[in-house]
Amino acid sequence: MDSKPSLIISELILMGVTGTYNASFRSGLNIIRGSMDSGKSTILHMINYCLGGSNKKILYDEVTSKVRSIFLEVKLNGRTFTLERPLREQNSAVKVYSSDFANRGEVFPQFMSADPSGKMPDGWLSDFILEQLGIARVKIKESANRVDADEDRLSFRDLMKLMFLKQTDVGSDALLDFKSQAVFHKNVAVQKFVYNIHDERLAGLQTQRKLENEILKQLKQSESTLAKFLTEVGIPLDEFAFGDKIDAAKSQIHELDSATQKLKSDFEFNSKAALELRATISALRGELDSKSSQIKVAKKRIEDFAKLKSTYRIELDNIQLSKLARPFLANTPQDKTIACPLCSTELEIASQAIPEEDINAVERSVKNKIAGLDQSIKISMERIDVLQVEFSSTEKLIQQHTQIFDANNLSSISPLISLIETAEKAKVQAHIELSSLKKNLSIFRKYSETQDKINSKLTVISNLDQVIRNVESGLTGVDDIIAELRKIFAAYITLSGVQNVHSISYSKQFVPSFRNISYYDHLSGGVRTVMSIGMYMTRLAYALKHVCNIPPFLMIDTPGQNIGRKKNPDDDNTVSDPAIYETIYSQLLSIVDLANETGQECQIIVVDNDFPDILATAPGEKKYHLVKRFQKNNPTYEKGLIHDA
Amino acid sequence: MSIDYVFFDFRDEHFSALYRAWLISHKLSANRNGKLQLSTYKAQQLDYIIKSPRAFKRACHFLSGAISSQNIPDTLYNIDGIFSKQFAKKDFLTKLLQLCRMGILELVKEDTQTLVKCLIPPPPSSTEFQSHLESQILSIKGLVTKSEPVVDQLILGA
Repeated sequence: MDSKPSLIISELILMGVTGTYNASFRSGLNIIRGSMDSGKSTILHMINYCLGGSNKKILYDEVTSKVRSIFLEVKLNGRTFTLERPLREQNSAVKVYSSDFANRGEVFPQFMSADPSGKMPDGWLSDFILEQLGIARVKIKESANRVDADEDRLSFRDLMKLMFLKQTDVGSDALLDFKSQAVFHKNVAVQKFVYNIHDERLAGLQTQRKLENEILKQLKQSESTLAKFLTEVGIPLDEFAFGDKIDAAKSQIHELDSATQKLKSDFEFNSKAALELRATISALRGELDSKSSQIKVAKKRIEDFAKLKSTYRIELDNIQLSKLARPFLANTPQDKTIACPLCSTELEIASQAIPEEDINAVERSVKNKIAGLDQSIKISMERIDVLQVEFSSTEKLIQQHTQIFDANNLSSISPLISLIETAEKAKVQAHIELSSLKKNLSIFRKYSETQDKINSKLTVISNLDQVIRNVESGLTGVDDIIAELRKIFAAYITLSGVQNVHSISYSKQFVPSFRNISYYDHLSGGVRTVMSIGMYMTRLAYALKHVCNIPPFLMIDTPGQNIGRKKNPDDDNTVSDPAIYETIYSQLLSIVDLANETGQECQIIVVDNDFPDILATAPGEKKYHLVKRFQKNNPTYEKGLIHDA
Repeated sequence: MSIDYVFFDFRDEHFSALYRAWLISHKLSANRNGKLQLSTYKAQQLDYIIKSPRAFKRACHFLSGAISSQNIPDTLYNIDGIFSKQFAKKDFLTKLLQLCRMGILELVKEDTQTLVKCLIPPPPSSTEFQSHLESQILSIKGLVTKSEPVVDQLILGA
């Protein structure tokens, strides 16, 4: 179970008040280029901050006014994690999500402290990273000389020093804390651990092995307890089952959504039709009422005509009686008065007789009136007949429409309503199911984190075993490792373009020398620059070639320091400063090639304000990934990290 | 024309009114035994009832029940109340007196009342309107034996 540690940064995301800013990375060579003061170095320091470093260098106005939290999506030994740190609060918990950035909402984060003395439920971030990288958390002696020297636990921060060549460290005579002997010695001890040099440390390693085994046992115990608990509460111990169930629930919700949508539009359509139908029915009813009142009016008219006709009939009877009676009563007294034998008074004769010459005309006139009335009555009756026919046909129409309406209501609307109701209920149920599944999944992931811890621990133990075996059999001697480092460094410095390369050596404190002068004693800043980069590249190349306790990862901030970039016409092209600068990049590219050849993933992130010709003119396939190019006064490029500041 | 026929009440036309009074007297003055029974006032009451379709309807209803009055058509006459006027009483009496003068009727004084006696029968019914009037008169024959106040109540519609 010899696994090499691997660390690949995938993405840096700055979450702000008004928006997010992000930078993507790939394995291989990553370049961040741009003008001065545009925030290039900030990117490296933010990566460092997310991996447990300090935020001192990144708290400047543009950042603090726009950024609240920093997320780093990173692959540790192939597993993706997202680390979240608030920008300002160094002491707040670092949230670690066992997922990529996009899906971090699906998992419970682990809360870790960035500092070993911090108290957080899920421990120290450094321990977590080392664990994930499969690197044992050994104890490092702070002094090589004193027997009673304090021992300190290895921290990821110690390794980070060896992977991050800061701007101020490039070519610095204080590189790796040379000016502070205690820290320098610790760094040397860390490098010994990195290269698996365990001189007198066998006992310590075995103690560590026991300790790790103890932790493994505890982890296994808690895993089985958790598994038992999860089984008892009915949470399946299989992530795929969750995925399927969640997908099923989601697609069920989706289906229900579209079904209810369709039902609702059907309902809308049907109720629209029903409304129209109802309007028609009520219009027809209005028509029916009007017909009915027209019939009533016509009947009343007939009644009136009939009364009038009876009246005329009586008149006609009287006229005809008068005509009939005339010959028999022809000798009616013509006096104006008549003596009453009963009361002995003269009574006035008031009655008028229709004159003989008028009577026929009067009779005709009344007959005509009766005939006219007959005609009117006939017309009215015909009108009533027509109205009655119309009335019953309207009535029939209403009946038909009402039947349609009722049928429509019964056959479509009512079932639609109950269908919609059922669908909505099912949807609510599905949502409940989904959220409970998500909750269970989060719980399950917590459980699988334990499993992951067990796996990492197994890697650590197996690596420790390997180391112990190596020490016991005296396989890897210090001298062999130093010789290998020297060999790599010699190749580098020979190719670098620096003149008078001879007498190359590597000290037991991992400090290179050439011309018999140690790195720290070289006067030329340019030479120190080339050598410091060489030390870091040597370590990276070694990590790719051998099993050791550091991932093949390197961040360099401005490698071209102290090296002249302007070409003189009389420069020898192979030995001039610009050529040396170009060579640094070509050697970085060779390391990427080495990784590719050995089938390993490595990552180099370089920040520079210059850009070497070798990358600009690289033939064929692009040999690097351009993370960011910041340029002021050019709208094609972002003007800086916080591009809207 | 000397008469405004628009407002003329043909029921009170001289000849038709005389003929009606004659026919009433002829049909109702004597009972089956030939005994005079029709007072001048009762004759006037009956004449009024025959003239007025509403009163006639009430009379039929009174004598023979609802069914008998069903087919009597409504008219537009509105003369309820006119009856109470004193001149109408005298008016009818002048008609009887004119018929007496022509020798058709005779008024016979008997006890406190004056009864009508028909001396000459009217010409026999040969037309529809004659028969109609005759049948109207006969249908309220029952009122002859009713007291005058009872008939008055009937006429007033009380």
